[in-house]
Amino acid sequence: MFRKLLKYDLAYVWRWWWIVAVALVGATLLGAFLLRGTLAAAEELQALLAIVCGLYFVPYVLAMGAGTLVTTILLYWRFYSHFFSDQGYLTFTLPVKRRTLLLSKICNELIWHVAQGILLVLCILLFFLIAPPATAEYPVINPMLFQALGNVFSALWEGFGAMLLLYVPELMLLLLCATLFQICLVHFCITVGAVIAKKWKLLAGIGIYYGVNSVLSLATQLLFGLAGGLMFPGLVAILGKCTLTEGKVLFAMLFLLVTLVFLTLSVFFYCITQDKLDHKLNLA
Amino acid sequence: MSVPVLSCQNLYKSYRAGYPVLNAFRCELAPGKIVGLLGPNGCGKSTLMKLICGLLSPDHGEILICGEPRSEKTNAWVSYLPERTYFDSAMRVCELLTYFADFYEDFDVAMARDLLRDLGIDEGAKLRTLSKGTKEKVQLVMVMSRRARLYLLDEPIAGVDPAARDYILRTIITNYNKEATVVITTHLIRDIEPVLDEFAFMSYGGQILLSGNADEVREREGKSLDELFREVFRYVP
Repeated sequence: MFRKLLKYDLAYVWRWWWIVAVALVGATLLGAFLLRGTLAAAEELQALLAIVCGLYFVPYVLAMGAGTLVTTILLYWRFYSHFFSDQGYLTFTLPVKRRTLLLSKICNELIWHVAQGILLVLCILLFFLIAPPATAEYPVINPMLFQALGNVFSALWEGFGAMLLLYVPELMLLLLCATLFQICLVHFCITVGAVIAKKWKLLAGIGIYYGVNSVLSLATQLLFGLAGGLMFPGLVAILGKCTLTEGKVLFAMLFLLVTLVFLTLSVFFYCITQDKLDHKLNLA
Repeated sequence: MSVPVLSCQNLYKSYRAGYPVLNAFRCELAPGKIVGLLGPNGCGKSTLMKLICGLLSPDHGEILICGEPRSEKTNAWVSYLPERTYFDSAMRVCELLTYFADFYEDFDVAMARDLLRDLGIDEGAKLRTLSKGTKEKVQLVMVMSRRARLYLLDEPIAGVDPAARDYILRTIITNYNKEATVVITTHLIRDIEPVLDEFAFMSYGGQILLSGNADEVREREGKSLDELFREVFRYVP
C-alpha cells in the first residue's frame, strides 16, 4: 500500500513540478547565453547588453526562489488537502494504516525537496558551463567552471585531507535531516492547526508554525548563549591542546551532533503528528 | 447465528463539552438489509457514519464491524458515500477507477465502467469539469461498485433531480452486495421508503425513538414511514 500511496503522491506533484523545472532550466539557458553574448560582444554594445543582463538576472534570481517556494507550497498543500480537506474523507477511509499515510507524505516531500535542490544546483552548473565565452582553445564549452571546482577541491583536500571524505557525506546527511525536521515540523503544525481549529485550519497551522519556530529559535539562542558562555573558556583550552587531526575529528563529531539534534526533533514532531492522526482526527 | 455486520456499544461523542451528539448510543445490524437511518438535522446521523468509518474518534464506546474493532482492516469492508464530494478534482474519471482498483480489492472495475457508460459519463473527463450532480453520481458509482460488507450512504439523493434520484435508488438496489448491509441517511423519506427493509428514527443524542421492519410497521400503523416520521418528530424541536 505504501508504494501505491507514494506513486499517487509523486504523480500529484510531478503534474506541476515539471513545469517549474522546465521554466527554471529555460531561464537559466537564456540567462547563460545572454551573458555569454554580452561578454563576447563588441565594446560598443557591451554597455547596453550589460544593462539588459542586469535587468534579466534580478527576476531570474527571484524566479529561482519562487520555483522553490512553489514546490514547497505544492507539497504542503498536498498534505493539507489530502488529510484535512474534503479529500480526507477518501484518504482516511482507505484500508491503509495512518502511519503508512503519513510516511508516504514524508517520503514524497523528501524526494521533491531533494529534486528541487538538485535542480537548483544543475541550473547553477549549467549557467557557469554555458556563460563563459568561447575561446580559441575551447570553441564550444569553456571548462573554466570545472577547473575552478577542481581548484576548490584541491584546496579543501590540502586543508582537510582524507577527512573530506567524511565531511561530505556528513554534510549531505545533515542537510537531509534538516529537511526532514522541517517537513515533520510543518506536518505537526498543520495537523495541530486542523485538530484545534474548526474553521481557518490552515491559518491556525501557519500561526502555530511561526510560534514553534520562534520558541525553537529562542531556545537555541539561550542554549548557545549559556553553553557558550559557560563552556567557552574550557573549549578554548581543549582546542589549544588539540592536534590538527583531533580538531578535524571534533569538527566531524559536531556535524554528527547537529544531525542527531535534527533527527531527534523530527522524530518528536512525527510522533505527535501520528498520535493526533490516530486519536484526534476530527473531519466533521 | 450470524455475526452482526455492525455493532455499536455505548457510543459517546460530543463536539462541545456537555453537549453530546451521541449519548450511550447502541445498535446492532444484521447482514443483508437496507436500513434507513432517519432523523432531524443535527441528531447525529452523519456523526455516527463518520465514527464507523474512523473519520471521527469516539469519546467513549466501541464499534465492531463484522465482529472486529474498527481499524484500517475494517475499512476494506466498509464502502462510504459522504454527503460531500471527496475526490481530487484534478483527477480524471479513469484515474479514479484506477485509484479505487489499486486500494480496494473488492472494487469491480467492469461494473463501474458499465454504470458510468449508462450515465453517459466520459471516462476521460476531468472531475472538475463535471456538474455537481454528475460528480455525486460518479461518487455513488465508485462506492456501489465495491463488494463491501457494509455500505454507508450519507444523504445519497440530496441535491439531485427527481429522475436522478430514481436512478440512484435503482443503482443501490441492483448493484449492492446482497449479503451486505446498506445504511442510508436521508431527509427525503418518501423517495427512499420503497427500498428500505428496516428503519430507525433517530433523535438528538442518538436516541432511537422507533425502529423495526419497514413493511411490518407500515402495516401495523397503517401509515407510510414519511407520515410516521412527521408524527413522531412533530414535537421534537
